[in-house]
Amino acid sequence: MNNVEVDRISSLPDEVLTHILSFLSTEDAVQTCVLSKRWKNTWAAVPILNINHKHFLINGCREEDYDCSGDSDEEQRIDVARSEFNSLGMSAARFQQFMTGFLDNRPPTNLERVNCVCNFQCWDRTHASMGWLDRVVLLMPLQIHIGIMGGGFSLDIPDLVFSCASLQHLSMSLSSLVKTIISPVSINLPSLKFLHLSVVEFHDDFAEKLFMGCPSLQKLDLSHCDLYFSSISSKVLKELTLISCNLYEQMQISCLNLVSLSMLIDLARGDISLKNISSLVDAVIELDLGDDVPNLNILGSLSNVAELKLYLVTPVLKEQLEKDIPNCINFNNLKKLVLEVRWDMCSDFYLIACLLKHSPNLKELELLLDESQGQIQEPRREISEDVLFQYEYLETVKIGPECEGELSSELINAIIKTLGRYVKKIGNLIIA
Amino acid sequence: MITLTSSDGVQFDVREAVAKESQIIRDMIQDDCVITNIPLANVNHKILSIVLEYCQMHVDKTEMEVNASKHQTTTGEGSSSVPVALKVSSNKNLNDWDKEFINVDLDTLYDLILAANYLNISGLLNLTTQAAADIIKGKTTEEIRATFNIKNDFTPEEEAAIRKENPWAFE
Repeated sequence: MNNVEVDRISSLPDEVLTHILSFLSTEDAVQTCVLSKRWKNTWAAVPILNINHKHFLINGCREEDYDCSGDSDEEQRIDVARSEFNSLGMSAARFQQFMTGFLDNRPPTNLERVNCVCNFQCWDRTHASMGWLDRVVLLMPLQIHIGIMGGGFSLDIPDLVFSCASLQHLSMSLSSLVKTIISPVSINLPSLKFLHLSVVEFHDDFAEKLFMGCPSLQKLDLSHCDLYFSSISSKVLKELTLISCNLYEQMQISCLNLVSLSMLIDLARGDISLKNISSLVDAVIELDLGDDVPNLNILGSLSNVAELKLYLVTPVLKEQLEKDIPNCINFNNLKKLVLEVRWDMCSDFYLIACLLKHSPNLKELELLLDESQGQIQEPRREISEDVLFQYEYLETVKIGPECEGELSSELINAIIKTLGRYVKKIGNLIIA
Repeated sequence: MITLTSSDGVQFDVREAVAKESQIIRDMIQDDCVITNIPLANVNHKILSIVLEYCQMHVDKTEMEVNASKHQTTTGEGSSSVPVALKVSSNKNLNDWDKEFINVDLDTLYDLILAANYLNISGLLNLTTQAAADIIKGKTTEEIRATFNIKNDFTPEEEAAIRKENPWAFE
């Protein structure tokens, strides 16, 4: 290292120093204020709030120590838990103290981004208060990313975050034993483009309020949520992702400009229909159905997709989709069809044959198989006249296991033989 | 081709795409498309050559990706699965390359930060300032001062007062 005596970092321009500090946790950034006079107020210009609860742990209390489910013997466990409770109580108090101090001492210039990752697991309800969020929202952030591991209580998310005019990106993951209910009195997020909510519960008019209050919302991503509302209806939404959600109502999805849809939903007590989604290009669908489901109405609405993935993981879903076949118009744009098949498709090719028949321009077919299910010999299902047809040419066919592992060559041969009855010529056959 | 001249008079001939990694050069070229020689008063040849190495690498990688995905669409093989895999692997390579690239002494790091800031190359500015932040991370106040030769111009009383007045930040 040359010039060891020269302090060059302090002579960097202000905006560069704040840029450097923006990569640090806010606590580390704040502590640079005692380095020298040059650094005294530099932290205050950093437009990013980076909070990670790990910085508030008391000496020696590491994150692993949190895990109250350790397998040490009971007495020791209680001791550890007691000391943890004390230090975690203190760390929770420190966290709240830091947030207050930061907000009291920082000039009220705008924030660009808020990242907050916290583990409230062993904190009590008072310490887990999210009151600071209201003050943060007043600093007009563009992005808020909050990831909270909660304890045995639901979190109180203050309403103000749902009325932040500057907010473009809001992401909240609130995993706790009791789902947090998000039910703001009103929603007014005129700039919001992206919303991701994870492990929360929504009721009644949430969706209605959301789409009324977010006229720019392009991407909605809900994962591990309980949905108690009946309609997702938007003219601007482009991407909709509902992953591992439970649906408790009859839901209709109607989004004129939707391009991409991913649904992995448990419909135990609900039901879903798709309407007005003719602009859809990509669709990924996996539905977990209860035993007693009304008919699905899905395939007819997917008629313009270019890429379709269907995860047919339960026999009920396969049966319901077979009933939905009459609603199916041709998939004229469909280029790639991916099917996860959990039954012996060599004996029962009906659904796949129907889908192929309705996809005149298909280029690629991918079959993901479950070896164990595939081996169960079922009586061959006779294919009725209406699906007796032959595909002249498919460019690519891929066959692979649905998760890891390998497929037996017997199974692969049987599938190729079955396919051969419906497809005259296959360009590339890829066995994964 | 565009000629970039360093503060110490060394000329570098680079492709327009490479020079355009810099926002200020991009703006200049857009304003007046006949510019072919750009003097850079704040960057010497040693640093400029390192900066251009960075730009060259990033342009090459991007072009490779674009070509690969074009190839995919024209041949129609697997509309998305292959390019995504390619993109991931090349991003990984590029990240590894960046990591190796930024393994420089502190003086060079300062020069690169200043050059990236002056030329407005956002990728390089993020890379270099992140590297500086990584050096600060996990160090005590004393260690940071020692690493960067920061002279503490607070009196011990002044420093103690700041710590005492801001328990929220230091406890």
